[in-house]
Amino acid sequence: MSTEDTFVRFKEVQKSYDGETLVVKNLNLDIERGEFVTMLGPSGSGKTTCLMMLAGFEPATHGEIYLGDRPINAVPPHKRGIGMVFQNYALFPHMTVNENLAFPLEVRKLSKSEIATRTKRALDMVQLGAFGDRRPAQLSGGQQQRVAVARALVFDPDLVLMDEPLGALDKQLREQMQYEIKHIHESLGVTVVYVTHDQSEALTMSNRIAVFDDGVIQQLAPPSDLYERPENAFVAQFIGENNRLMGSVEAIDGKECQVKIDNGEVIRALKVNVDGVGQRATLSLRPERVEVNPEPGKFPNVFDAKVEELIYLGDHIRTRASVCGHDDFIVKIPNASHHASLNEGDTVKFGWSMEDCRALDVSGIH
Amino acid sequence: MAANNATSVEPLLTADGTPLKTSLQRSLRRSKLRATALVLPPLLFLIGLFVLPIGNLLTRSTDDTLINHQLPLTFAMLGQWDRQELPDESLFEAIFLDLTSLNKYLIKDNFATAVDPDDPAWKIQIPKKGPYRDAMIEIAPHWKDAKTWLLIYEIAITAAEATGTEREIKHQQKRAQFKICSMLTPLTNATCSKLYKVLNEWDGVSEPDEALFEALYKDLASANKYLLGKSSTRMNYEKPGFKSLIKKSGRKLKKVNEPPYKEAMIKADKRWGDIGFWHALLAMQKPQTSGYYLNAVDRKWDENREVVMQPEERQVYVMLWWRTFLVSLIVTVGCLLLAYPVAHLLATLPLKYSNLLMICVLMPFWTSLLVRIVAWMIMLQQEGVVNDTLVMLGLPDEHRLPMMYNFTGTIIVMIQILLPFMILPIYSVMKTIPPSYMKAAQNLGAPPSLAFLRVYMPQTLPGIGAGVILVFIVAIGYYITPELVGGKDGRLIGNMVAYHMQKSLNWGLAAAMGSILLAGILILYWIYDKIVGIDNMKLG
Ligand SMILES: Nc1ncnc2c1ncn2[C@@H]1O[C@H](COP(=O)(O)OP(=O)(O)OP(=O)(O)O)[C@@H](O)[C@H]1O
Ligand SMILES: [Mg+2]
Repeated sequence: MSTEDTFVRFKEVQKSYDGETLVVKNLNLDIERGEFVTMLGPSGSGKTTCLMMLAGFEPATHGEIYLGDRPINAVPPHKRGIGMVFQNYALFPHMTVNENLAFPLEVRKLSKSEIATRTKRALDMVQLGAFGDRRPAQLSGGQQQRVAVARALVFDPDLVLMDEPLGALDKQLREQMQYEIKHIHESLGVTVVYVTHDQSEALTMSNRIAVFDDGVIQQLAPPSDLYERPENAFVAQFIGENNRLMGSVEAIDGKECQVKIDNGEVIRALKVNVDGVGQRATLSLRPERVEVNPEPGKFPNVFDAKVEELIYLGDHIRTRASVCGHDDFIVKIPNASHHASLNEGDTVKFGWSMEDCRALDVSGIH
Repeated sequence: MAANNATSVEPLLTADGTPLKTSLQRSLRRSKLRATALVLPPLLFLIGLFVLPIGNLLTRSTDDTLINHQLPLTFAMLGQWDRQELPDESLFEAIFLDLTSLNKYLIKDNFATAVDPDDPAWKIQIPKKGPYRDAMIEIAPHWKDAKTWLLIYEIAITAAEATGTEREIKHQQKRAQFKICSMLTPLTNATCSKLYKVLNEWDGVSEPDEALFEALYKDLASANKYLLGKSSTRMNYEKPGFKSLIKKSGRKLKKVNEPPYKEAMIKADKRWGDIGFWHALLAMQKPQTSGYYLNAVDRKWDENREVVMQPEERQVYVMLWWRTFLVSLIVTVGCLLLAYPVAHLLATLPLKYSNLLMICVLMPFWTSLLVRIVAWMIMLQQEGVVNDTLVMLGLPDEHRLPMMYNFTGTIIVMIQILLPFMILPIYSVMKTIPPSYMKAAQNLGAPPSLAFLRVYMPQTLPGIGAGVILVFIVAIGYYITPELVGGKDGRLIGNMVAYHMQKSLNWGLAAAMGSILLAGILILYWIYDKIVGIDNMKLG
């Protein structure tokens, strides 16, 4: 998708550090103005590398990166005008918070009064107005993080990069900061490229998520699509919980296919990422899409299940059962009063629709 | 509830009823004792090898007690002298008695202001060939009493009863002889062997007889000779020629028996008629002297007790202090300029190369100082590698650069030797600065040079400070290198300290110079603390 509004564009970008392995393999990515795009992926998948190429600290081995319509491969970092929040914040320890914020304005040779007002505005934005005279070491982790965000925004960049900015914070603070960053993004309208390997963070914050693995974008989609409609086994596995059943494709009929899984049963599934009859496939099924003892005829897929284990989790009951020869089949049963209560050892029926069961490739699974 | 209230008023008790405080202290005592036991050895080591020697150095630099023991009567009378003309007979008599008689060791109040010049005992002559007893008792009646002798008697017989190997016994006896002498005189290294011998034959009760007095006289006489040598050396520091004056006139003065002494002394050596020697005595009058410190900065007391410059031909030290300061400054700046890029390389190169570079940096630590200096000699001398290369490149043969045995040589070699002291602290600080700071600075819009100046360099200041202080302090006291490669105009104050320690044996002056160096370093340290803050210093 290359529209008028494309602001950042990776075109066939490749990166190798040692000349032997490609850390980023043929990356094509268009980011729109004002968008919040998250790069999500396991450790070592090349997210930071992409960010560093965008910021100008690592040259792309091949391909071109555009900012606006300008190719920026030859532009040095200090001329790119991109704000960045580093993973360890990189606040200058020998300067106060105010001096840290003033630094990008001073190098741009703004007037003293202008610097003062902008610094103050940025600090107020992150609710740290009273902390201007402190050194970074005198701030808590969360406060340092806010200062880092303020510093990346104080010179009004059009693009802000954040490399796991919340990695060092505890869960509660992280959630609060996610909300604040999101809020700032919405009110300022800057474009944000965000890196994380925390999927819930990615899901709550982003307009679109690029799932990385092994130097390749596996899927680029809005959060709901990513969860509901994963395009390959890696994404299905990486985002949220999912039941995996392996088998081979028996027949294909339009958008539907029949997969014979390894114990002989045949499941009807949505054809997403399988090539043809006879191919191996992974079936992916979200635990909350399975119904216990469904009305007969409601689902095309109904199978016997033996309840192995029940874990009470308050709002739902997590149930492990053996289904179709898999004894790690997970089902989330909402804790509603009218619902059938199960006991360990019971034999029941599990059913699910064709659309919820996605037939995917087998390759991306490690 | 009621029980709770009660405990809040009364002291808290533990389960068995002892107050909480007591049992807490008891439980902590053990660990405190252990901690003390662990700290004690290094503490003792520090005191023994650091605090005590420095304390000794400081006292030595002002100590003038020896000469006060030598000339008690003279100094007691010196105050009455008008300092304008040659002293009169009374002062000549006083110095004559101080130099030739042993009375000062016998009279009790014989030191500094305690001296009573009117005591007739000063003028009683002990016959040189004896008998000694009567004259000595007349001078100091307490010597008649056996009790006076008991103190040294104890020392003698305790040593005589010593057991052990033959060597140990000999050692004990020798120590006893030193000890007796140090009881009677201010000298710690004169031996009173005769006294030791006769004291052991004495019973400790009967009235002291002639034999004891004869031994006392003879031992004191030889101690006096020794003291005279030492104190004339001291006098020589104040006025060159004093030592030879004492030595030359000494023999002749022995033959003089009666007044007038003034005439006799001037006749023995006409320098006694030179008022300058008498003025020199004024500077030594007090048991504490600032003379060594004045001398260390080319100054001295004049006859009006005012500080004046030394005569032109004796002025050396001020120039040396300045040169030392200058050399240290140049060496420090030179080291800093060379060390900074090297340290940066060390901190940023991949491990494979930085290890190799580190070995190169540390190499000077692993080779002997002398070997390194000789290597530099080969490089820098007139016929050396550097000059040969220059000549080969077209430098006229007669214009070979003098780079050795002068100021330049000292600087080049000192920079090389002290470089690691600058590199290591800077390196250790740079190592802790993550590269993300430079990236952040550039990302915020600063070109690399500005990012370096505003963000990187300020963070290395603690290392720079530590390196600068370290190099400067070491450089300021350096002496081996300047000694070997400095030639005449590359010598530093450290060489003078070494010279006075080893050659001229003027330890007072050496100590004074050492103390000035120490004070200078402390002042530098203080300034550094004011400007940068000592807690900002990182030594590695
Ligand atoms: N400077 C470098 N030199 C050589 N290899 C590097 C360098 N930086 C990263 N790599 C390698 O490139 C790959 C991708 O690294 P990158 O830092 O981009 O991963 P990431 O996705 O950010 O992981 P994480 O979530 O752990 O931060 C890794 O295998 C890493 O070992
Ligand atoms: Mg990373």
